[in-house]
Amino acid sequence: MKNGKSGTIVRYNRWAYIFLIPFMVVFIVFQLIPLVNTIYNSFFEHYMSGLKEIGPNFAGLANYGELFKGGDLLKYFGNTMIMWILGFIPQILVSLILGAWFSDPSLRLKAQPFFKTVIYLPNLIMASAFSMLFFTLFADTGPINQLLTGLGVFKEAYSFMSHVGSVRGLVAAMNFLMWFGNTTILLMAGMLGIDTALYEAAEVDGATSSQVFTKITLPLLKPILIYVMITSLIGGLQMFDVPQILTNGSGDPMRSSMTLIMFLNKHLFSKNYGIGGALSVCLFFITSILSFIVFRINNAGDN
Amino acid sequence: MDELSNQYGYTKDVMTASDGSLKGVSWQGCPGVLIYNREIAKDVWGTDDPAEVGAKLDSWDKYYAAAAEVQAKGYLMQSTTNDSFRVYSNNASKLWVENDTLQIDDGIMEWVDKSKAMVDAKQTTTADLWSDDWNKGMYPDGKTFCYFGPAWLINFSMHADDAESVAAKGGWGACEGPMGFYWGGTWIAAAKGTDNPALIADIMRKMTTDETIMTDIVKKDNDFVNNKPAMEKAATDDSYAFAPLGGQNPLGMFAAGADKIVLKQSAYDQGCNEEFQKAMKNYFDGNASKEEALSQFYKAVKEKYPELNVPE
Repeated sequence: MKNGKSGTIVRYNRWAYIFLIPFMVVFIVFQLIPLVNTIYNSFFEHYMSGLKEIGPNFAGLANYGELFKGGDLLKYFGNTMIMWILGFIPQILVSLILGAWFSDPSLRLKAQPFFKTVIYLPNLIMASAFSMLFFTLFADTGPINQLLTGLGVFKEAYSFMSHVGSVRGLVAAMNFLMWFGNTTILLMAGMLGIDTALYEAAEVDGATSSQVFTKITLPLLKPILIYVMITSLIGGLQMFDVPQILTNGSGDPMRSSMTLIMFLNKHLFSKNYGIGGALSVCLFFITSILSFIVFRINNAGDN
Repeated sequence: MDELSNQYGYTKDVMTASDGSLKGVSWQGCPGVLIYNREIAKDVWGTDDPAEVGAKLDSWDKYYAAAAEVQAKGYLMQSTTNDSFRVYSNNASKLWVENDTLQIDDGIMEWVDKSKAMVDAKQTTTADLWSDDWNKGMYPDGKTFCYFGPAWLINFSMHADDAESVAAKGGWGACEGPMGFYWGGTWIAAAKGTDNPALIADIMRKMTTDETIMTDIVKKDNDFVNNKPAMEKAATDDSYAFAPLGGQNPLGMFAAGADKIVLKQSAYDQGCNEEFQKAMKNYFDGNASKEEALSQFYKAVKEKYPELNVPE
């Protein structure tokens, strides 16, 4: 190999590093340092009692012990996953159908831009405002109860906020409404990227539309599906504002709608860096493990 | 300090720091009364006279007996369980926290048992204070017999500005109720490092000691002000009648109540009161046993105040 050629490579590398600087600076300042700091803090007893600061005192793994005592963490993880899955199943199904319809040229759907905008609109409302709206709509004396008792569905007002199923259902419904538009756009982009020659070939071979969907669209959509699932999963694990506002921060009834981040928020009242840090570290591992599992399942058939 | 001699003692105690210095002053006194719906009183007992209605509600036993009568006519006794919480918690003999240990007063446990019975008998609901459901009773459709509150609740929170409300029609009456209590208050304090100390001192002095300004607040805003002699005088003066109370003058009741307020507080009260009501809602709604709801309360307190000892 000649010296001149390898010199050029080195020079190109240098440019690559220079272009990477802005990203690396932002990453180090806003991601890496807080990450390391959080892990470090999780080993200390450190919180505020009113205006009095307690700690930092080195506590070893005591914060983790406190966190796992009584199995509450598992319960909140369960709540989070239940509410995410309840919302994600209709979300992915509706998005797949809408995406398939929007991207199918033979359907000749009219006013597509209008519908694409409308289904995306709920996402533009602040989650907290959306949640507040639902809280008002489903209050004991709210319009939904008035309507249902007026129609004779219920004899007396149904207390939506006092039943486990209805609170979780409302949270899932809100997440579904807010995110199915976004998912539809992503899946549609993926579907439009599939070579139309494949569809034409399938049509010539006499494939039915359900065969086309399961044998051509879905397999070729896999990379986008994995992306949608992982981002939605991470978003689901970080679920906070919707249930927080809907239940006034309590996660009631009996904390059956308390998510992991709401639990984290509970410890921020006393600025408890120790327990908060430990919880964040656990969350980091849970997220990594789940993302890895999703990734593996979706790639299982490839080899 | 002589300038403040007309103010109620508790308003000064609140603002006195541990070194004995006064940090702020208030123009308001916030003793509470029981505010009842006159029309419902007439429907149930045939009278809306404050003395006669008051006699039916002057102890908790009578209050809960009345609740059954009110419910039989199709009304709620109080809007939510949390309405009466403050009355019990203000009269608690034990503080929430002593020697860094959480404890629950017997009176507050009595509130739990009585409230559960009320919810089960459909005499009240489990809505949150300030929610739409709570507000509903301020209108005739809400069919709610009474609220517990100080003067500011009558003026600022009962929707007297809305022609549809009970308050706009002067449909409320006031009586002392089963127990005296107080609720909130507003204090003025100067910010450290202010450029206008003289101006601020003047505003504070005028707002909290000037009798003309203070009685004016009462006349225009139906508030109760922090001036003992002026309020005792005004209590017998019909020109101070409250419109939302149908022309009743409750100042005498307030003045008597304000004199009796003794502050017994710990730094943990707000957090404990909030978490206790939240946790007990689960018991009232039938989503948990009393023990489960209590352990949820302990858990929530430990999260807020990690330094406290709580029962496991």
